[in-house]
Amino acid sequence: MLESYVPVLILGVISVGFAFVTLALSHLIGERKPTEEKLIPYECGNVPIGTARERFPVKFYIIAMLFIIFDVEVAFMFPWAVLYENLGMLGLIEMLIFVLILMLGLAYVWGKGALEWE
Amino acid sequence: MIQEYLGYAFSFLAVVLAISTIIQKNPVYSAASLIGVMLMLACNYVLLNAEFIAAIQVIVYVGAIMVLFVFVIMLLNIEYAKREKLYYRGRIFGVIIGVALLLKLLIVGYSMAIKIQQGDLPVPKDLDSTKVVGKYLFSNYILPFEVISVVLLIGIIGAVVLGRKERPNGEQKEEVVVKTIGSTH
Amino acid sequence: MANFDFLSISPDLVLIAFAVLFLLMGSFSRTPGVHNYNMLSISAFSLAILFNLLLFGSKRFGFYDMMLYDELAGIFRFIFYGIGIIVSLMSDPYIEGKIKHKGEYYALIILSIVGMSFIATSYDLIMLVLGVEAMSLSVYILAGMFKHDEASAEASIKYFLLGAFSTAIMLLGIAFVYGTVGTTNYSLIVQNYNKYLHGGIQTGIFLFGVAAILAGVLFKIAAVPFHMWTPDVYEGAPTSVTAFMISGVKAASFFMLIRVFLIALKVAVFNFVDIMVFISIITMTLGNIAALTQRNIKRMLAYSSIAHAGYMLIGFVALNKTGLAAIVFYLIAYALMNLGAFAVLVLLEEKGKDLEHVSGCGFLYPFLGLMMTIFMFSMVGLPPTGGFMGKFYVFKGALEAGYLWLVIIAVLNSAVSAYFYLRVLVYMFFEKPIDAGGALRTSSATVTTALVLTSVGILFLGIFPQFFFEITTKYMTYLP
Repeated sequence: MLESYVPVLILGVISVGFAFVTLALSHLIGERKPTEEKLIPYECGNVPIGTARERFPVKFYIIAMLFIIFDVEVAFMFPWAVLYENLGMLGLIEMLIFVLILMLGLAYVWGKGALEWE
Repeated sequence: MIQEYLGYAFSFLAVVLAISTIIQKNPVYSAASLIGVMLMLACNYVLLNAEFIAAIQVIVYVGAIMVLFVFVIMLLNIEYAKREKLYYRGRIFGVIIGVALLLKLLIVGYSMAIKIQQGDLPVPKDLDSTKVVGKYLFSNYILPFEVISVVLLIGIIGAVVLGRKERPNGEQKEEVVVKTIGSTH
Repeated sequence: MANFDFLSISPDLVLIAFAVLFLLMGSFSRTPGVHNYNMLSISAFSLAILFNLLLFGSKRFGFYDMMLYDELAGIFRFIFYGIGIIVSLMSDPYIEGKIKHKGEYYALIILSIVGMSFIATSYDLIMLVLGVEAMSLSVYILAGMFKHDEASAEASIKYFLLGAFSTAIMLLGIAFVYGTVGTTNYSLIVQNYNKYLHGGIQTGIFLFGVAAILAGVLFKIAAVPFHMWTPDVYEGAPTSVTAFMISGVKAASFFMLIRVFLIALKVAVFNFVDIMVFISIITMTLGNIAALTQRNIKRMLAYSSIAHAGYMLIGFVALNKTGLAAIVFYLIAYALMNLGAFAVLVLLEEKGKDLEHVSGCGFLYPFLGLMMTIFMFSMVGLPPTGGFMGKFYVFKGALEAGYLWLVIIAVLNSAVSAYFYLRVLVYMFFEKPIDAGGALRTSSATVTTALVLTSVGILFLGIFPQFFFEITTKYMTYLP
């Protein structure tokens, strides 16, 4: 069972290792001649104005909250999708009820205008 | 055998990343370290043959909850200096309590093997953990499953009612100033 | 066995349908202000009561033994739906103009009561946790519904953080119980406990789990080591929501205590009697002493609710039929008198929240004065009110179990409590009004109905106590 995860592990090790090696190599053997212009943050060619750490508008918050809720919903769909054929009609109806209640919630959010950016 | 070593490796990385979460001065780095902790825990779950929990760990914690964490950090714009003060005050007590807890866990962990009762529900050998969860979620646990959708609905209402900006009564709808994140673009 | 017994959850299904309807009405209607949400919500609860009436008397398992509908669960459903009706009656004039999301307000009250109903019928710890979550999450949101009031926001966030923490502790306890007995089903917990656990470390872990569950439940009923949130939350939340929390959430939490500890964990309940005696004494004493110094009436009633939780715990300490049935009786009286007192406050709140602000109101508004007198008498426990009979039965149960000294402490506590309850009446009747002005909305038909219902209920409980007490005694089948 666990053998099937070996490729995942290899992929993870290689990707982390690649990023690490590239950064380390360029740090070690790369030539550096810093000037003031080179050290400022890259902002698509413009000269940056102020700090990039600006406060987010609170409107993102509600999007993030709704994202979490529907993310949890998807988490519950996962075992259903894996076992779809065995569960059959009963599973489909059960899932439909589950989704229906949350879709009504989504309709509510939509009607409330919470998805609009005002 | 190799599983055991891998488990130790993941646990070690998880501890290192957890320490990094605490001692980083930049809260965004802390959050990134916490993501690492979550991923390492997910790896450990895979080693324990609990693939479903591992997947949920990644989807829910790394995918959703950490987004919210990072978002709150961005929203509040926590400054470095304040955090540093918080970190130094009362450090001795924290260290004492932490070491005491660690010692206790080590003693309990090594001195007695706590036997965990196998669950009453039979686990079919030919199904992997996701399928077992699915099998029972859609039969024995069907009522809790549907009630969860009601609980999530309440969560939606809460997000909309409490999360949205609401103008005080009587105030006219002001001109909305659209503010984007990267204002220099 | 796959017993999809939809009939046993039909009241909840009706309520969920109405809640969703309210949400959609609130979001899609062009004229959100004009709908009679309170009347709709009352009809929803009436329908639920009707369905529950059809079910009442039967005992049915449902949904793979996830739930068990028995008579006591039916009684508690009646209590919850009744509380829902009275809260709906008293809310409308109060939240008018202050809450923009009226549809959501009523939907959340309904969903919270659905959660309570799932607690009442739970036969599995998973269902219990989900019921608690549905109940508490709705109330966290309701507490913060006054979005421009800082106290309301503080109440909401404080209740949410502490409540989430307590639920987490409870879940930890459930995990320990599951780890030792391998099941979360109420009857199987008892079976497996007898099968697998015979003292030693395993039983210790099981008891630790039970203690953690108990801590979570005690948080919800605001017993003393876990009461810190109560005054701030009850004071800061909108008054109609406080009325709902103080009656509904407390009733549900007490039933959770009775149901979980006398069905599922009855094997362990005797290990906790001693500590419950201690908690009960300290809860009522601290609640009463803290209430003595309060000037704000809502805060005073918050401390008084802590004290009442202490009295009710005496019935749980007694652990006999009389004591446990008395808790149910006491809860009904307690819910009625708190709902009534808060209904009066809802009307008087425009004047202010402190004792001084109600001075003279008793003669200015004789009806409100009379009502407040009944409710305060009931809170002290003076005859002929339900509060008196509630205390009487609880003490009777404790005496039968041999806790004479506990009863003496409780009676002394009641005597102390008379001071701050009757002080409200002193201010209302014997102080000069600070200013007579201000058009007070004292003539709301719905609130008057709520007041009449609660006061008649309290007097009925006080004058004909046998009627209800016999019912509760007959159906109190959960015994250790």
